[in-house]
Amino acid sequence: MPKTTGHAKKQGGFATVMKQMSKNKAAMLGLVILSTEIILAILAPYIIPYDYSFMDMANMFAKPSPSHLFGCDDMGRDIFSRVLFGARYSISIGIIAVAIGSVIGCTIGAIAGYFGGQVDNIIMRLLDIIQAIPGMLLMIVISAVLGPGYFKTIIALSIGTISGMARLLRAQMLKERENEYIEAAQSINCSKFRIITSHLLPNCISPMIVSATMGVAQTITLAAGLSFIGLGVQPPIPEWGAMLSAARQFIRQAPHLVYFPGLAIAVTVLALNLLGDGLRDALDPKLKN
Amino acid sequence: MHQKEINTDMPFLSIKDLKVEYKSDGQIVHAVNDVTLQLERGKTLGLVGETGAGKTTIAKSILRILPDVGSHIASGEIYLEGENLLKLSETNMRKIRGNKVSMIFQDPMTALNPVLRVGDQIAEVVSLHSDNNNRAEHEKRAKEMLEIVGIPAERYYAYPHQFSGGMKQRVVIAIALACNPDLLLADEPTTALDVTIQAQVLDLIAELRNKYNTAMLLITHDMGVVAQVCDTVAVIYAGSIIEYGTKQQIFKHPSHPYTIGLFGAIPDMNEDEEWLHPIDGLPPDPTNLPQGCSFAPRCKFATDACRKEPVSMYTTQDGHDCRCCRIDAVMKGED
Amino acid sequence: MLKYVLKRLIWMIPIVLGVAILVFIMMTFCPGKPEEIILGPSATETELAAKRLELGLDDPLVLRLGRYMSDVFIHFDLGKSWLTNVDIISTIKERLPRTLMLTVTTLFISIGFGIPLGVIAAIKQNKWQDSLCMVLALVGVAIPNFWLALLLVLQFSVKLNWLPALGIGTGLAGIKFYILPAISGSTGGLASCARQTRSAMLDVIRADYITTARSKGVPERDVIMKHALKNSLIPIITVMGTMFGHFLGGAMIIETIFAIPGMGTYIIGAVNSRDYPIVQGGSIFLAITFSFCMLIVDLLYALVDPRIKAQYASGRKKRKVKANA
Repeated sequence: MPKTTGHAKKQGGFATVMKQMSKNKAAMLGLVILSTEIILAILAPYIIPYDYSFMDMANMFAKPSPSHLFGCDDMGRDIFSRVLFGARYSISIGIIAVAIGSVIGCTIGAIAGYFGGQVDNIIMRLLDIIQAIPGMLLMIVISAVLGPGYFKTIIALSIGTISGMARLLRAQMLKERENEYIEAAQSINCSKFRIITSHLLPNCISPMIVSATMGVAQTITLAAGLSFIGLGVQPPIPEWGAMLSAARQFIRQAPHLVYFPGLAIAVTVLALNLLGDGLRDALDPKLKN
Repeated sequence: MHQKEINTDMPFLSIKDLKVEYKSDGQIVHAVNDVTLQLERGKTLGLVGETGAGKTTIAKSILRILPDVGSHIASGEIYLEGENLLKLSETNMRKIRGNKVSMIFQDPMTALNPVLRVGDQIAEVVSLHSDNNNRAEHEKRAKEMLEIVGIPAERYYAYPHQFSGGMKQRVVIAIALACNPDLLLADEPTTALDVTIQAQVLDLIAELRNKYNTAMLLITHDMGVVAQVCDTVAVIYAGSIIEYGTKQQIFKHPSHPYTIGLFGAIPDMNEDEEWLHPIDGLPPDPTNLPQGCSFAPRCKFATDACRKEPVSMYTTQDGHDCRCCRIDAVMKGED
Repeated sequence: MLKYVLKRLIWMIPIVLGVAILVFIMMTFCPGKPEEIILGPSATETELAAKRLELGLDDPLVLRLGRYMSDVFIHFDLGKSWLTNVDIISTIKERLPRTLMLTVTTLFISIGFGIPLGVIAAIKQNKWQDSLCMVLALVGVAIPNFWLALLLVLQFSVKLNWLPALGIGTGLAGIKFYILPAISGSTGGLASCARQTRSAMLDVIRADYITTARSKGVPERDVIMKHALKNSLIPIITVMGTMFGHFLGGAMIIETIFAIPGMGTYIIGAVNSRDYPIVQGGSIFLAITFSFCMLIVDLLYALVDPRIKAQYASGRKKRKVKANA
């Protein structure tokens, strides 16, 4: 059976994509920043100058200095260590939540997209209901049910990712389904499961990868937002959003408490967005400007 | 030659040594190479060649509507009634566009703005070139034009998606002729249409041209259309004019191997042929044109001289121009 | 067209009902017993039991759900706050306009600056203006709006004392209370809008009908504004729809930071104090608001593109896909 160029493109795909992307300086910058952050986050417990919960009241509100790069907070804790340690939570929440949400979302989207008809209708109505609640509000409500905490936040955020991913994959499926190579596979009695997994999914993957990358960025921001309002991940864990929330009360006397956690979020999200844009340009030149 | 005065001895349209380049991915595309053409008032010049030969580029250069990014008129002059269009200011050029010179485009499906009413798009060109702001008058003229091209005036308020391809092309014609232009550039106006509609649209164009004595540059790759409508013919290959003469001269005595190949490729209705006779090979890569004659790689008459040096225009026996140094050999059929 | 609007409104009904059911069921899983929350820690066992009976809390879920649904949709009664016993609907009536005011202002800032930025970036493609706009857009998307809010408060309220940091005011003078909140909420949307506008314009500018317009002698400014921009509006309107969702959600946090007594502070406060009827009622109301906004967005499409208007009028539903083979 003829394989269309779409399928052939995936073989040898990863190397080609990487090569294409290496030409994009912005994307490579994003990749470098992100990789650095991940490495630092993994190594954090070994490289932080101070324990993140170590309180030194003598240094309360200390301004940034060589011994305390980002200064100290209201309890004399070193902000640099806290931000670095916090990276472990923020980044891992983002990646895990999006990973779980994508797998579930893609499954739902694939089923809806492939089978169409009533199945598709019901799934779409359910997604409509979930999406009728604005994103942040939905996260708040789910977090209210589950309560604060690292794992609970991951669950809440993955639920939030599901509907977006499901919709996207469904749309891709609907497009690809009309192609002749699917008809060809059906005509040789290929099982539905095989058609979905071996033929359709590989060709729908590119927008999903881009969306997942952007999704991680969004999820990190949402997680920080949740922590900021008292849900999400709470002190003493130095999650960036929670740190900002604590910093609020001291905004007049110690503004430096506000700068660094927020900067960390911004830089991470920026790197992820640059990477996502680069992936989008490399994976499908038609989507490029 | 007094170049600053308007020279009434010059033909109505005179293109001299036009050279147009595109930049694409760091490479230079030589789209139009030293093209020289003339056209008299009220006459029709057929510009014949295959896709990518540079015909549309020539037309767009006359109107100066080449895409901003990457395209560039490298050298040459385009005189309209003695005035060099390439030297005009943008403001003055805008007065000419749609007014003195207008264009009919190849693809009617995408030539009209989908979110504006059809009639308004005709009225727009009228109002741009009228000296008053009388909306009612412009609308009236637009409705007149609709009737002239065979569309009922009440369809003024329709949107393009409500029209068929043939009707859309009529609207494009209406827009082009609304201000009674002196020169009409028709870029393959019937290629995208069904065969039955093609005939109607061609007739319409010819009728209007006769009525208003408009000069026309008709771009086409269809020799049948040329035979029906044109007075003079220029054959273009790889951005250069390779043969140029009256319709009779070109059809009766085609002299360039490419032109002969074109005529030979047309299937004969009266004979029982098994195979078509295409011209072997492909047009050259416009970023990497051959050093000598651009047709040499495909030409069975080519010699080393052809391949080494660029070829200038020669005159054939019946007096028309041909860019081939071996026209005698070609005429005799000797390789 | 009217038929289309009616059809959409009717479609909204099952969705809103679905939201109500979903939220109600979720709330039953929330930590804390309702009777304890209402009566407080000093209540006795008997009082608690009596309250449970009064509220019918031991009835099967379906019955309780049915009661709630009929209260909300037939009697338009969202109940009372467990802690303050104030009628929820009347509080929402007070607070919703403030949230809407914030959201609409944010939308205007985003579109008002986003579209021109995108147009400029498109016209000056690959030149320095384009790069600048795109860098600003990237940064705008990356900065979390609650952080920006804090930074703006730091700069404009604390240091410069130009704008108030908290609360709201009345009448025209009250607008200054919305400025910092709206700006902090708008950066993400502004950036999205600019990028979307740029990308749509770049596509449209290459279209044949733009060449036609130029060949008519249309001045370049009109080519951009009259011909290109109008055709670029479709993807921009799409982005506006998603932006509105983000703004409504973002308003939750912004209101908290700026102590604006709107729906955001209402709901978040209720979550923290376990006053669940407010969370339920507020969510349902916001879902309805959001659905209405999506309807308006869809109607805007029809306003801008006559092909879509025709599609609506003919009754073809956009999303219907027939199962193939």
